[in-house]
Amino acid sequence: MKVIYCGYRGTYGAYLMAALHAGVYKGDRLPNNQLIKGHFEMCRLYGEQYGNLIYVGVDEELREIYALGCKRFFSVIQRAQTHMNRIFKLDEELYHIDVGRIEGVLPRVIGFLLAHGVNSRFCEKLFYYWFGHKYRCLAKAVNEEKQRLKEARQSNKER
Amino acid sequence: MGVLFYHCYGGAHTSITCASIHLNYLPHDRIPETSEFKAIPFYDKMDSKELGTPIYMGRDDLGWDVYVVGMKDGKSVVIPAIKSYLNASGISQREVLFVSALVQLHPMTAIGGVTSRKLGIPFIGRPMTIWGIRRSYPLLVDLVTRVKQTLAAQNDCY
Repeated sequence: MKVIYCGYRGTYGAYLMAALHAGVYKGDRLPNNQLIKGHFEMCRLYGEQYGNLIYVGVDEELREIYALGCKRFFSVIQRAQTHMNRIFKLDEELYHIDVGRIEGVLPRVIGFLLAHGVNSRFCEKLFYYWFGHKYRCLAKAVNEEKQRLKEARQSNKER
Repeated sequence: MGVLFYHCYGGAHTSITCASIHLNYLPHDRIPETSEFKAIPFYDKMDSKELGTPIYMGRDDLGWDVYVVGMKDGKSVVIPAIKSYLNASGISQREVLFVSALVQLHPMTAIGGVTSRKLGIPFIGRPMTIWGIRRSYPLLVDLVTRVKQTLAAQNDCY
């Protein structure tokens, strides 16, 4: 199974949730400053790459975890990717998660400022604020998604 | 052989027309009558809630499966997302071809498309789209001819 976290840009909330899901970040505490700085660098360098699946890792049940930037085309991409399974006869389950609402508006603002060459120190400050502010909320959302996946798996087994 | 996707904004008019020309449901040598457009399967049928769903139109004489898909104005995001997923699933890029059916269309086609699909007034919008597409029909035939030539050349390479 592939779990794809989709945001407007793939490197902000989508990547953060994917990293939490795959265990790269621990949900009970904030990552150290070096990791957060590295995350910001990734956003600065690759934030404008839309449509590219970013492989993050596998979770404890060996699901592949990805992040994806899909602007405002989440539903179009979700349907298109899901139907590719049928067309190419891929025996693969796909689970898309829209993180747009959970991550809030700040990643859109930071991404816009970075794309327009606004002072990157200022953007970094904003990013740190957003990261610290949203971390617990996103970790909670990831736990809920994991629970949902677990329940779906159990009900599939029962069938 | 592979899978060919004609894509446009709504997946209801131009891409359907291109796929129909490709599969010889519509003629290459003349502009079809209105009734011929209405007879095409899926013409002016795609629901905006279903955008992104590929519709199978048929298999061409070279063995390519022809699909139609609507991507709104997000082709620069949706196509990489599909290719990226196929790549992650081990499907070769050679098996997939995306062709944009949005050639220089008559504005009436777009207005008719919005009227029919978005505003839900097909009895006004559909004739407008057909009127517009008939004006641009030679351009669509030209596009499909070039696609077929490319596919034939690709087949020769293998």
